[in-house]
Amino acid sequence: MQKVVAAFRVIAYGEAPDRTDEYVRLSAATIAMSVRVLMRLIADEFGPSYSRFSTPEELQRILTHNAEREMPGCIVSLE
Amino acid sequence: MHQNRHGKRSVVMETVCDEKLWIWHIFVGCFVSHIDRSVMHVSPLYVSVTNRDWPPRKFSFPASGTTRTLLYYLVDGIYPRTAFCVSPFPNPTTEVEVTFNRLQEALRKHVQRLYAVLKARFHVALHPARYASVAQMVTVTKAVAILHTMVTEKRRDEYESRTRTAAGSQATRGGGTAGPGQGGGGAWVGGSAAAAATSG
Repeated sequence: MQKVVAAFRVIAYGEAPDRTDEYVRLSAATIAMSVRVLMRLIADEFGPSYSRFSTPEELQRILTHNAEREMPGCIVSLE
Repeated sequence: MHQNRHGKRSVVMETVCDEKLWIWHIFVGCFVSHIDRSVMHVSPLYVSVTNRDWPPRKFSFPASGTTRTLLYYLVDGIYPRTAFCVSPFPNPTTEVEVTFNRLQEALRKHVQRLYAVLKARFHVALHPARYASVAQMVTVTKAVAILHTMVTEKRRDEYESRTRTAAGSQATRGGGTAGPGQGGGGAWVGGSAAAAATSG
């Protein structure tokens, strides 16, 4: 739990790994390690369900929404 | 190789997002020395479009008197001119072109907003990645995008977001049970299962 808190502080606040050691009492190496493990876990575990093509009914909703904005046939924007 | 034009280490992201900043597609890990058009040519999105897997041709829309079936993405001017990318006019002169650019940029601004939101929400994307390996940068970017999508759906708390999550877990697990943290309610889970079955 401490490691998760420390890792999320690094991710969200962009802190250096040794910044959090007084708060959660972990060493910098442990925090850096746990950041890496957590990132890899998130990308591996939730990646397939979150990065996918939209289903037809979602696509239809997007299309009708964009047709109201006078861009019919537009899916979404790409950057 | 993985240096941007300021000489800093970075990776290129290619993202597709809608107006709620829901990230539909992300592709990272290409060399930064690629310009955007060559990033696109190695992207899985481009590959699936050229293989005619995506987008589905079932939808049609009227455009300038005819009916077209190829859905398109909005891009900015540096992307190559392909059939599924609609870029603005580079030098709009006539009133039609100006109006088109205004409408196009009104929708395209959301993906610009996505980068600002990502950086503001997860500061790890802001700071120098001088000592991080490329694999780490790619993993961090993917994880940040996934976390951002989670935050988006939780903040929104609508029917739409729940159906998206359910459809995603159905697509991943092949018709298994819905994932944890989606709450109860068997009706909408069953509805999305039927939708996933028809899409498959």
